[in-house]
Formats: sequence, structure tokens, C-alpha cells
Amino acid sequence: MSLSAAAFDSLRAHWAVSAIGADRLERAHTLVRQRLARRAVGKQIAFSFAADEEHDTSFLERVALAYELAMIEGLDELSRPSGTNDALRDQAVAAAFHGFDVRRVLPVPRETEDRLFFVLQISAAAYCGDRWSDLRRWYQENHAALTAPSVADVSWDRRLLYRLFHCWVRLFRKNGWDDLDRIREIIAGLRNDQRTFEAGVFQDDDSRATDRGMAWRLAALYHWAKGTEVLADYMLQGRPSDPFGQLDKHFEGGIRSAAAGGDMRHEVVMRWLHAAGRIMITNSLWWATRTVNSRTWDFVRSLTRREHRALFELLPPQRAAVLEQGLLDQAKTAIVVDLPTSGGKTLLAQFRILQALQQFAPDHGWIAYVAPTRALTAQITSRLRRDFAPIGVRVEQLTAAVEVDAFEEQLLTDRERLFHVLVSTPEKLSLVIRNRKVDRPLALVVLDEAHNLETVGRGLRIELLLATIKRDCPRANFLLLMPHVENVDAVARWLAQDIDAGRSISLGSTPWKPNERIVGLYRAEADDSVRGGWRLWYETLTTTEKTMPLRGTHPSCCSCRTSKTSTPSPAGWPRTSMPAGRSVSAPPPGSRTSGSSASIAPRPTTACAAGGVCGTRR
Amino acid sequence: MHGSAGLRQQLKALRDREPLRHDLFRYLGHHATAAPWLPRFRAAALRYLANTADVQLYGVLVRDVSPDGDDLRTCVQVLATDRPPDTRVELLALYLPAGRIDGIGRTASAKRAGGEA
Repeated sequence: MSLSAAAFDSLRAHWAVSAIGADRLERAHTLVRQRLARRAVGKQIAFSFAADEEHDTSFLERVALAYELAMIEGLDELSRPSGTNDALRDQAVAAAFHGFDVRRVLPVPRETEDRLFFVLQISAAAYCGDRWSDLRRWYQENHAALTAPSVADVSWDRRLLYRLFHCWVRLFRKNGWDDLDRIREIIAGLRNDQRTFEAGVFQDDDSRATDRGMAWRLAALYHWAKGTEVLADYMLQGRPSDPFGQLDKHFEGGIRSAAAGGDMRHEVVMRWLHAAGRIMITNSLWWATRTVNSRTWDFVRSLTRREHRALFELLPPQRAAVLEQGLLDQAKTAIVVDLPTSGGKTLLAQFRILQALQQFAPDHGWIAYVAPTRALTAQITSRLRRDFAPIGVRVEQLTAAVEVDAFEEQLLTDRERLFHVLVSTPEKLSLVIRNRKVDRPLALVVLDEAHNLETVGRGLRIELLLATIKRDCPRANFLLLMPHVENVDAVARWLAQDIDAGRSISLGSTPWKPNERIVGLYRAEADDSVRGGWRLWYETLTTTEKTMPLRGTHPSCCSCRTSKTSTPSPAGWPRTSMPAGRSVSAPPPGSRTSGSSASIAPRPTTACAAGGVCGTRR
Repeated sequence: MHGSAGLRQQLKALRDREPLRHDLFRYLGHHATAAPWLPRFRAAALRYLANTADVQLYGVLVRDVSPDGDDLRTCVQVLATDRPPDTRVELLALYLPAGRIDGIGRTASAKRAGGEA
């Protein structure tokens, strides 16, 4: 079900999408990018895009409709287990991807029910288009849109709808275990309320058309509520083991009831949520690891229940690696994973580590996790300790010193307190392996940032390490993690013990992106309207196909006055705050240009961004 | 006919509110995928995507009272005012014998099942 570039190409020829026209479609995507940029860094950069808000919004709604008609054609393929038409399925995913793109820059309707259906539909489209991580960002930026309306003094059917909206917002945002657990309470509360409120919506005459319509509506809403409960239970506990049957039963019942009652909006939203619910299950950690060992199951349980940053779902590249490309295939002794930056490589490594520990449990096998720098080994150790501590997996770190000291000697040879995972630099691990410091089998070597194999000098040392492990630890498995590089197949084949035991999982070129990124150059320019003043211009650049193409040079946004009131940063240049708590520094005004990328996502890693940049030349 | 959920208001909302018409197309899109009228739906959707005012709305009034031209006259006047040039509205009134609307659903079901009303 993963996104493919070919599916995007085919989508352009779809009858509804092509009806918009290639030029106007390009115009729509430009508008989307401009609106996104303005929302993310519009307080820092005064973008000079021409816009006619009302006309543009109407146009974008039309484009969203075109994509959604293409999505709707393939939605059954996403919703049904018997779906076999891959082309239609790909069409639905690609169309939902773009449909979400457009919808997220549209204004949220003000009228209550319009708003609820808008939020539910954009959320479902995000799931169908593999954009759930972008949806969570949209949720953060549109908090007011997620507020469930008051149920005081509303009819029973509205009370059901409002409560279900509340449940689905929780299902989509997943702010921890409690957020999901509350869904069960809400549904239980609805069961109690049914006794009190249900009779009030009927007029005691079963021949009346209004009563029949209401009966169908309630039947649809009850099915929807039950399907919601099934989904919440699965996301919380991974039970029942096959949730699709129950989910399908309730959603199909709900859709039939809504159709019988002529309830157009309920029918459509249930169709979309049905597809989204199935995808949510497929994305879940429970589903991805359902056939793996109990240690992994315990690990997933601890991830879903932890207080800080609970995890319930895999990112699209992670899901593709585990479910579609056989990351956890035990027959493969060497796997090379090429994943986009911020694609979630560490979690994949953790699954493979737990699998190897289980496989080598009788011999007390150990895992080597190799990272290129001291800083990275510390970071990895901290992450692995945090995640593995609840399930009793012991993680230790070696220093980068080129000798094994007494403390490390004790750590490596202690038979009373066995370590499970050893985090090290390549050079130090080489020392440990060559001197046979650990008297237990090496089960798995995880090599992070493995693209260093291609670098001069260090690449040779890493290659020697891998060759040494192949010679001295013949049972060891390999997992190499890297961003996109060439010849991953050849590396996997070289490491594997036989020709069929190597596997390369290449997802580096997938259309999925962890965030939206604007890349550009700052230019400092004297501002003669103020004594000693200066201001910055930001010129956007297109560097790779995954950066957001925006044309033009734009001034920094703040009114350019001398910075008497600004507080100099430690480096001596003004600092300012960005939305979402990001802090950025303006580049030194004396410099001619300065490269910078403005990242729209709060989550990712790269960037500093444009700031409120004006000041006094020194 | 005249209430907030009456025929006139429904037609006026469809005439004036583009998002509502979009919703209708999504709904029809779901039902069109396996329907014999799929080609006609696509042809209509193509026209609609080119011009979202290019629609024809139909309103059917069913009453079980004596026919009265005033039933539709006001409705026609309201819907004709500020009508977008590309939008057409067609109204049809069906008058049944007095007292036949109550139980009409049951009658229709019985007919469909091959029984007597």
C-alpha cells in the first residue's frame, strides 16, 4: 500500500484530476505551498505572493474535490480485505495524499457540523494517503477545530455524533495511552445515556417518515460507535488478534443504515473512516509485530503505555520495511536498510535487536550497536536504555578510548550481570572482537550511519571491522542503516553467509517526507532609512525534489528598526522566537549570504530558519 | 416546504453553497463506482469541475391536498432571485389524493414486495 512515484504519475491522467488542467493543477500546488509557507514562517518572512483569498479558496476546494473523486473510486480497495485491484488501490492512496495536501490549507468551516465533518474527512484522507504524521501537525496548528461541541440540550442523535467526533479526534491524535483509554469511557457513557435519551427523539408513531429516518440514523450511529470501540481497543491492547472482521461488520452495518435513511453525510464519513480505521490497524505496532516473539510484544506494550511520547503506529517507511519488505525475516542474516532521514531507523533496529536476542537466548547472545561518533553512541545508548529498560534489556556503552580499561573489562566479562546490547564506535568494537573480550556469541551487529562505508579512511576501517566479524563471529547477523546510497544490494550480498541470505530494503527514494522544507539563502542589505540599519532578504532555492519549490526573494518580516530593545544572543546577534517554541538565530549581518532551511515541521531535525531579522550593523 | 429543512431552503442551500454541492458529488461518487449511470456521472462531474455553478437542481414537492399554484410560486421567485446564470432549477409538484401520504412508505414497500397496498 506504500506510495509510489508511478501512482502519482498515473493519477495525473485520471479523468477528474485531468479535468482541472495541468496548468491550473500546478497553480493549485503552488498556492498550497505558499499557504503552508506563510502559515509556518509568515511571521518571520514577508512573502510577497499575490493572493485572492476567496477566489483561491474556492479554486482549491474544487481541486480537492477532483482528488477526492479519484480517491473515492479506490476507497473500497482500501477498505476491503478482498481488494485485489492494486492500480485502484494505488490511485486511492496517491489521490488521498494530494487531497490532504490541498485540504490542509483550506479554512476550517465555522458552522459546528460542517466543522466536524471537515475534521473527520481531512483526518481520514490523511490516513488513506499515508499522511498521519502530517495530520498530527495539522492537529497541533488547528487546536480549536478539534473541540467537541457541548452535548447539553442537543438531541440524542447529535449527542452521539458529537461524542463520536470526540472519540475519533482522540484516535487520530493519540496523545498517549490515557487519550485512547478515554474512548472506552465515552462509549460506555453513551450506552448509559441511550436509556435516558433515545426515546425522546421518536414521536411514538412508527409509521411516520421522520421516525423511520431517525431509527436508521441511530442504527448507523450505534454501529459507528461499536466500530470505534473495536478500533480503540485494538490500538490500546492489540486485541482481538483479528480486528478487521469486527471493524468491517460494524462499519458496513453503519454505512448500510445511513444509506437506508438517506443520511448522505453520515454515509460518506463512515466510508472514509472505515478505510482510515483499517489503515490505522495496519500501521499499528501491534499488527506489525503480531507474529514476532513475546519479548517484542512486551516492548510494544511498553511503548504504547509510556508517559512521554507514547508510540502506537509505524511511519510509512517503517511499515513498508516490516510488513512489505521482510525486515523481520529470520532467514535473512544480512539486511541493509536505506531509509529517508527521520524515517525512524532506530525503531526498526530495536525490533531486529529483540528478534536476535530471542533467537540467541539459549546461548546468551549479545548485540553490538555501532555508531560513528562518541556523541551518537551516547545518544543511541540513552534512547535504547529508555526504551528497553521496562522489558529488562540491559544496554551498555563503551568509551571511544582505544583500549579496554578495567571497568570495561569487568563489564564485558561479568557472567552475573550479562549485558544484552553494547553501543560502541567501530574502532572500539574492532578491539573487543579481535581480542575476544566477550565469551558469548555475537547475535547481531547494527551499523548506524553505514553510508560511512563510502568515505575515505573511515570507510576502510568499517569494512575491516565487518570483515573481522564475518571471520571471527560466523553466526552474527548484520543490520546496516543508512540514508539513500547506491549498491545496497551488493553490500547485503557481501555480508550474508550465503547468496540468498542478504536483503536490501530500499525506501530512500519513497515519495514520503518527514516534513516540508524550504531551502534558501539569506542576504544582508543596508537599510538607509534607519541609522546603522540593515535588513535581510530570503531567497528561496530548489535543491532537491523533496524541498518545497517556492520562487522569489522575500524581505524579513519585522518592521526594521534599530535594535535598541533587542537582547543580543550569546553570539552577539539578535535572537527571536518562532511559533511552536522554536528559537532561531539571525545570521551575522556582515555576511553576504548564509544558507538556511526553514522547516515547517516542529518534529524534524534539520533546521534553523528565518527569524525576525533586523538590527544594527556593528 | 418553507421550514428550515423545507424544499425551498434545501434548494437555496444547494444553489448558494458550493461546499454542499461538493458533498453531494462525493456522495454520488461513492454510489457511481458500480452503477450503470457511471458514464453520465463522470460527464456531469467533468462539467461541474470546470464550472461549479453549471448545475441543474430538481425539487419535487409531494402533497396530499388539492393542487395550488401558490405552493411553488413563492419558491420559484425566491430561487430565481440572484440565481447564478449557469445554474438551472426545475420544480415539480405531485398532488396525491387527500390523506395518502401517511403510510405511503409502507404501501410502497408492500408493492415492491409484490403484495397489495
